[in-house]
Amino acid sequence: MSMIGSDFLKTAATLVVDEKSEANLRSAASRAYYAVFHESMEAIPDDHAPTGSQLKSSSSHECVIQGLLAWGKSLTPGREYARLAGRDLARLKKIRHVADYQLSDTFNLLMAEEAIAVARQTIGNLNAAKSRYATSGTTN
Amino acid sequence: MTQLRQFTERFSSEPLLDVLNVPDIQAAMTQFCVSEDELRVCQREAFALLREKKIRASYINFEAMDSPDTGMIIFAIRVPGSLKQMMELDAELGERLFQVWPEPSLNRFWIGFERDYDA
Repeated sequence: MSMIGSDFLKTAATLVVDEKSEANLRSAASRAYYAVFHESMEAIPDDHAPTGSQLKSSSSHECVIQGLLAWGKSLTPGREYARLAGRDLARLKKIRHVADYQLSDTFNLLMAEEAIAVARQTIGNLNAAKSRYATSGTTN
Repeated sequence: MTQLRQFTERFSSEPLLDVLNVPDIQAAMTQFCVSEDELRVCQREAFALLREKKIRASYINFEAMDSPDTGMIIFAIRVPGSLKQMMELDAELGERLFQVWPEPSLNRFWIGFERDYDA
């Protein structure tokens, strides 16, 4: 792998600092979502992870949220952080939808900053979930 | 759709949901397989939290996003305050929702707080 999901978050942060054009702000929100999407795929333990064919389908975004919720529902360590991450990924999905598809709607700096802040929080929850899962003696 | 209609009518005097949109909301809920029970239970928890915190919702946005990869129903309650306050409030709601509705259909339905940027 030449990069990791959270690298997209650095790109998002750069986009809101540099030229604050609406295209940049929308792109920042979209990158923030994908940072969490990819970090989530990496974090979900194998027994809850979407299959390869699911990830290649049009419902791959749904499957990742489902994977986090399945982890959150299971009696495995890190579950409480996993389910919060699943909820925040759904929030980011909504923000990304507005950023990528609803071009006639207002999209400003505050909205892009919200996406980045939620993404940071979600990656923090994913890391906490992974850490608890790993230290429980279960391999990820 | 009695409960949803009652909810909508209750707030129709505010700049919130329009009762005329109820058939559209019903169609969206059917399309995304979201039950009225889930909507009702989650709404009740969200507004109970607002009452506890003495926060008044400034706007409610009920939206069906239809796209190949991100289709879902959104019930966003906009609240005044900072981004940090909104995120803390929403995290608390998230914890509570998992208690009252342990198997949420989050890939199809999201209810939560959004920052009211105009407040």
